[in-house]
Amino acid sequence: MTATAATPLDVAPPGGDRHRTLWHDAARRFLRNRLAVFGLTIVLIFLFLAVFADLVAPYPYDRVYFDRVLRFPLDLPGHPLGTDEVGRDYLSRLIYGARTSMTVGIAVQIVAFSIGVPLGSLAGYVGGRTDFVISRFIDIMTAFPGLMFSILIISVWGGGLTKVIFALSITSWIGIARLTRGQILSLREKEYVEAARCTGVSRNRIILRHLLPNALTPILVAISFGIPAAIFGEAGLSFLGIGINDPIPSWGKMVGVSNAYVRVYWHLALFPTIAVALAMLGFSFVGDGMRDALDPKMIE
Amino acid sequence: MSASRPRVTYSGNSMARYIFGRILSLILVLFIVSVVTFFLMHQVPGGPFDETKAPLPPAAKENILRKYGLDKPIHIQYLNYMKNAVLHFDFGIPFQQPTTTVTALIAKSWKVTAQVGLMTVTLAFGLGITLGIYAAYHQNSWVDNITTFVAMLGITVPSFVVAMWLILFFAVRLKWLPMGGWNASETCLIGSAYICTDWILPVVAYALGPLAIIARYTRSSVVDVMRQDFTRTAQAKGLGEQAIMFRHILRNALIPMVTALGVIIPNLLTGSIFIEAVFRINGLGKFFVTSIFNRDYPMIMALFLLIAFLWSLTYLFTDIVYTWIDPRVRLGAEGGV
Repeated sequence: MTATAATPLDVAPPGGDRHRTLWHDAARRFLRNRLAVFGLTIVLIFLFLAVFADLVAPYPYDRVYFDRVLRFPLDLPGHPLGTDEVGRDYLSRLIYGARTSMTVGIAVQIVAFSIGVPLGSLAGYVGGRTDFVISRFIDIMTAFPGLMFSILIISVWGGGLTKVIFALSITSWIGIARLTRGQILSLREKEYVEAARCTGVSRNRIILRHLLPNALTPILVAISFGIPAAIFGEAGLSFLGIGINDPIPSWGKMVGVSNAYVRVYWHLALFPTIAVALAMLGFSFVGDGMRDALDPKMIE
Repeated sequence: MSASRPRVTYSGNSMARYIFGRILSLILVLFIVSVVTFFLMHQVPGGPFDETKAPLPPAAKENILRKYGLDKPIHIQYLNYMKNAVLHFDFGIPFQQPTTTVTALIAKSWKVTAQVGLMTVTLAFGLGITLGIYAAYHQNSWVDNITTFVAMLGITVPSFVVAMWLILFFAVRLKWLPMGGWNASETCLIGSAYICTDWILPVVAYALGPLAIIARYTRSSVVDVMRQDFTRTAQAKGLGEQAIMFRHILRNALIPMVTALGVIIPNLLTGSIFIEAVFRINGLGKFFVTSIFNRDYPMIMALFLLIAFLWSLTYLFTDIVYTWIDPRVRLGAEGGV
């Protein structure tokens, strides 16, 4: 499969032996895993739709046809998936919905990574009082009801893409921070770190060049599971009617709005359901595949 | 959220200190939650007494604001609120139903949410663990395949979407079950209020997600233990299948389930919001949503504090149970990831 040759896993570490690196092995194992490749294909398709929605979608997402309201799939030649309750092409809205979901999923994980990894590394490497403060902060945030808090924040500051991303990001970094801390803690006593310290390598350089690259694999796996979780969160908020604002399409909102019409117009609920399920499935398979591929226990 | 919390090791005396420390941090959490929520609530543009329809005379508005203590500076409002909440269990008067108190409203509706939650947990864990064990013992049988399929469905489809489809098929098309409600007397079988047909759809929709996770977790956990040396030893010395299963395999395989419990139960607390919204169940979750749409500060505040309290309590509880049932954690082996 040529489309999947350039996976994110293929980023070889600089200067490394191209053949027996961890990443190369992992990529090989990943590509041999049929479910993982299937998941990756779905994810790539959704990413493609998200990026090129303007080119792929037959209509703009907010184009309203007052004479074509609530049409079934294949009812009209121009609307293969029918139209919604105000006469917008459903296929186009689904495609733009991929953009919303992917943006939220990836943005939330970028925030999670850029808060969680530095905090976790700092706590794990510096230790002492710094670790105590950061760890207590992590403990407190763990006991924070994340989704409820997101709902609260959105109800105060209003919905919209950036606010949804912000609201979901507030608790998204906790798992990453804890994971990074644990990883760094177990790695920092290794001989090669001690050797680096002996030769006078600075703290930041030890963290960045010696510890993080070795701690990265479980973090990447956690991130790949975090993306569908964020997509889930966005769908939930939008379903309640407090997430993404009209006219921007969101799969969760499409399901929520269709609730009123679904007894007759089943297609309004069916297609976004399939889209959410496929996206979740894709990311879960990729996550599972990455975990198996990167798990050192699997290396023969 | 994340299942992999690092486990610290304790023994004897340090266990008490650990629990004490955790309770202290629980109080700290609740304090922070209360401060953040309180100030967030008061940052909301628009109050409950803004004149949208008929403008109030300024004197009347002043009176109302004074009655609810909204004319004082915000930190005084906070201190007053917390004093009443902690000392008198008085969380104020809900703006949406000014004739009762927040405490009374919560007291009225928590039972419904607790019922939904309890039935869901029972179904999810009962069926999830059974399916997981069966699937582990009969790998690649049709039950295993169906379990995998249902697990995939439960993990990939949000509960509210499952709920909608269940309503569509079983209530709208087949007309077998009611579309919503909870304990509505006309839907209860055998003239008894304890077996109601309107329980089925919400609980099934709600339980599917956790059930999926539990079934998958149990299956892999049981398969892991089945490959352990002590299982082989038990088989070698001629123990019966039943004895091996209950005494050796399940005992060890179910320990990680406590961690799963600690992650699933808090999430169930918030998941109730969606289920109650879809099935129009008058529980805490639905109150939370209506309160948010009505900007009912006292109600939101109280509900959020309650959830935060239960949430951190479950975390504390599962951590304690975990150290109690798994001697390896106490003896100093590094658990978790």
